Amino acid sequence: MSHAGFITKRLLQTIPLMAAIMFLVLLLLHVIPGDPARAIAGLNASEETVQKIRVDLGLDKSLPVQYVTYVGNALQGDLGKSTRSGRSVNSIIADRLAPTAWLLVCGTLLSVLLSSVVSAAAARSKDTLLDYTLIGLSVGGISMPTYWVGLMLILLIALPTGLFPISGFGEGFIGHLNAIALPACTFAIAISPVMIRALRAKFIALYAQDFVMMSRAAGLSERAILLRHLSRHAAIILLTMVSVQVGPMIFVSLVIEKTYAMPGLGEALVNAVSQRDFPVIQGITLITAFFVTFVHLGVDILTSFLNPRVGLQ
Amino acid sequence: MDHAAATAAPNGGQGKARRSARKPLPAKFKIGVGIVFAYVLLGVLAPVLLPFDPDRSDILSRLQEPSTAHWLGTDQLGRDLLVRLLIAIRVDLPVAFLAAFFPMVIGTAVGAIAGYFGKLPDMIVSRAADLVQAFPVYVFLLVLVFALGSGASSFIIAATAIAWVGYARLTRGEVMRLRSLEFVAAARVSGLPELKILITHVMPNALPQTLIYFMSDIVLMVLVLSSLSFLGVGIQPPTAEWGRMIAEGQPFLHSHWRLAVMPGLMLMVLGIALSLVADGLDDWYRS
Repeated sequence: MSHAGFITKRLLQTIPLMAAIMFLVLLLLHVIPGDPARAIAGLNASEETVQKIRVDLGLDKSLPVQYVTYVGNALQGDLGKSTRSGRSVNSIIADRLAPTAWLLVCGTLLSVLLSSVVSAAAARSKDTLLDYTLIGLSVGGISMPTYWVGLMLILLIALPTGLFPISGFGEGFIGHLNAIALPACTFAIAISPVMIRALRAKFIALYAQDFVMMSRAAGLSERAILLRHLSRHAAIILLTMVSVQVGPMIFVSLVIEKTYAMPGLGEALVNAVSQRDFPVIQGITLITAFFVTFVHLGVDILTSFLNPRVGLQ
Repeated sequence: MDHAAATAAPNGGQGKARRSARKPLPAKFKIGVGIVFAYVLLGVLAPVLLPFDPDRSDILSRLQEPSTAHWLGTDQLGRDLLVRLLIAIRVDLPVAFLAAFFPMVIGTAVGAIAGYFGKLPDMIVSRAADLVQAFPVYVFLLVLVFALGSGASSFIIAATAIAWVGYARLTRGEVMRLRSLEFVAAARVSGLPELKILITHVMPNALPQTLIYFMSDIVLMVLVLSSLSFLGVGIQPPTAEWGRMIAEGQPFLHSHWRLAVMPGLMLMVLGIALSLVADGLDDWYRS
């Protein structure tokens, strides 16, 4: 298959996937035990309120009709209105996007940086004390609950030094950067261990290859071997890891937002859950699912450029 | 995993299983099992060890510092912190276990059928798996638990609806690899029915990998369950649960750090122990 063919095929695969995602998000309403409208309105709500919610959410119509309406509206960029505040779900998402985007971007960059350095160091000194220590730390990192790591950073760094805010998103660029520092570290502690494991194995396999020995024999410095030859292979693994980890990353950022009271999408979702605000829950779930799908797609296409062997069989 | 698959391929995995059966289990496996066993014991014996009711509040003795009566002090409602830490084992460990066990049973069965029979079953299973994986899975889990109504059983149901995918993918790959090996062809030539070949000859070779994945999945489930409870969706108060206890301890972080720190340590040590078990099993199987 040609390269363009691969990309076209991959793009086309995304369309039924997105249709199915929208169906599942719609179905969320129907897994509520009993009458969904009653469950959303609350036990004490009047029959009129329940009926109004039923009509607002389209629950009085058949499932296929609901689906067509939902997809039609979503394609026109209409994700419905909050049953609590009456605001459009779009505007709620738009308001909340910035902190989440900051956290995802800064956290991912930090995770990539941390895991590259640590895994290269561990692989270079394979089976030494340093290697075992780094591996041990990463097992510890996997086993710690993310929100707890966040609280520990508050307890051990923010409270004693007073340098970092323990809640909110700050004002201006510098303020944002200052407010995002500890959440991004928490993010990296949660996400890096998995990356470190995969990268370390890759580095060990790479260091055992002939071309590394040849480069050494030709007098290249270790730094040059690492930066010039191995980094390209590592980059492909890192991209794949980002793609695999993007789902967990979104969950992690949601938990971190709640821990640091950052006004992001995750916090909006948790609030919507506590208020049983279904359109907002559905809207945010849908947006994050689309985001995951696009990251998967983007990474697949990017990897096919970096490594021509991938995906063309 | 790829590496293990490659080395296992030539002798069909069977000889390999026999060889590793003679090898002693690594130390980290034993340490991990020991810690998990200690947790189970402490969880079971908590009411005998400590004479406190974990759920009954006693406002008069709230937020006490550690003393000879309350070794770790009391929480914001005057409940003994230590007894709540131990009683929570009864919630977190079994719920996480079941939330990994049911997906394992369903995912392995589905993956085996897809991998062995291919064609339509494989297509259906693979597409369904793609769909579930297109979601940020734990966000989906959160929303699903909420929709089903918070609580342990909702968590287990939602986890099963989502986490079967990992097991199905793993088993499907293993079974596809094993299916093409000679011992399967030999079984087929000798006239065994397909389903019998799958169950008695193929599956025993695919299960060790599944078991290793299961162990690391429990770690994840413990963490996810506690995260959901932290967010207010999972286990509901007053039931003692570590994530919930951390959330309740957060406002007292600057004055009574134990309330938020201790449940996290309980989680971390359990997580490390389960990881050691999984890692040890993995090393043992590969060697």
